[in-house]
Amino acid sequence: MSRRSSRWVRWLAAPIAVGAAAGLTAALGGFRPARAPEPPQVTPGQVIDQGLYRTRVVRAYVGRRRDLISDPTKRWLTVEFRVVNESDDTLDPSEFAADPFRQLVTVTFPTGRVDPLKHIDRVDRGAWKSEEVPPRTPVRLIVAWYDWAGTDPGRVTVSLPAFEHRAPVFFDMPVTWQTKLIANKTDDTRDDRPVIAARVTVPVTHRDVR
Amino acid sequence: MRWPRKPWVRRAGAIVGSAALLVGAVAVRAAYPSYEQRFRPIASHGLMHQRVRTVDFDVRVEKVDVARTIMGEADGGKPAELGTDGVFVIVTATVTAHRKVIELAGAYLRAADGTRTLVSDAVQIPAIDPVGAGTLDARASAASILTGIPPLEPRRLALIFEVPAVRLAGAQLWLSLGRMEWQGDRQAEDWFRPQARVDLQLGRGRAAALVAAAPRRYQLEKQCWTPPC
Repeated sequence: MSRRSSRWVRWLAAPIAVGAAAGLTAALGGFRPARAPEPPQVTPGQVIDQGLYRTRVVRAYVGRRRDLISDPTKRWLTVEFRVVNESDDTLDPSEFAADPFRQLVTVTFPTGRVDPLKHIDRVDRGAWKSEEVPPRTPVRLIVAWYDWAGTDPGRVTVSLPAFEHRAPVFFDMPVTWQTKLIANKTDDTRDDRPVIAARVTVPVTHRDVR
Repeated sequence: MRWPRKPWVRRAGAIVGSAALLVGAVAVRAAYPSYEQRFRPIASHGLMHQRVRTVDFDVRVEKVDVARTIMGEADGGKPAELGTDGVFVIVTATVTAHRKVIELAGAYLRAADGTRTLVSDAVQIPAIDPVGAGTLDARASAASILTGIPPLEPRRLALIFEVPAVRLAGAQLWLSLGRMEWQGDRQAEDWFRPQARVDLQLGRGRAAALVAAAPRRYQLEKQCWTPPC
């Protein structure tokens, strides 16, 4: 083979090899969008690393809450958390960019119903009221669903979102904590659903809070 | 200068040149001040017991106390004890506004590791009158939402923070009119306001001693808004 023709063979072989590799990858499903892995199911009391928070689901209960509303006929579904704010700043949900922890926590009932709506939540300090979660200091947080009219569910599954520390754009922005969103299938844009850091199934007891 | 004729010399030169460009680009990027460095507040620095001046106000930190629990007032006015998994740091300071009524919404205890703890919103102390002479109202003065400090009338404040005991050493008080917050795509405008940064002179030994001696059921002392009492 002459030197000239061997060069042509090399020029042709490279794209053919690349094409063959791409075809093989496609045939094996390598270009299909990756499925998001199922979030881990952890037990109550186990620490969940959400990135921005380290969280334990302490307990869940249904009952009256005189501390939240004076109407004794109203019942609440309450989930208690033990939360450590891992960021460098106090998180204040009353301010702009409200605390996403409480916005994104959902409960799933044994019937399959998912309820993302929280009607009241706060940092539970006993007789004290607080809305702030200071950095690196554990606090007890309650999220309560107002006027729970259903039968006692027996157990609920709590889904906790994940957060990531990243810059909103490549240059010239500080790195901040943001909700980790499910990556979109076709491009670099992101879905509006959060990645779930973990799910916890917790028994629901009966408890009235005065 | 003649271009080198040997191919390997040209290739080596290209590799070295590319590497040098890459290193240069990374070095320039690394030397460029970060967003937070470029857009930080205009800060005045000082030590405890010193008067630290900003354009808007002066502040002089008088003392720092540490407590395990604090006594205050729950809803309904009943005395109640507030606990924490860390410790309470009570910074007593006198603030004087210069030209206009100010509200110190941005009061932080800045730890040596960079964490910034906003003044606690949980502590409620019995209040008589936040402006007249009376009991210090930490609820108003600490969060500074309710309390305006008029110009040229010094006000004595107890700023209460809740921090892990291990983060007390090296702490500073950062005080400004606005909070240091990120608003989605930019810093809040308040971020750029003048800020006083006071070194509380808490070395490791002093911090450990304060934590070891920290009392329970700490009572905020009766203080006057306009010293001397």
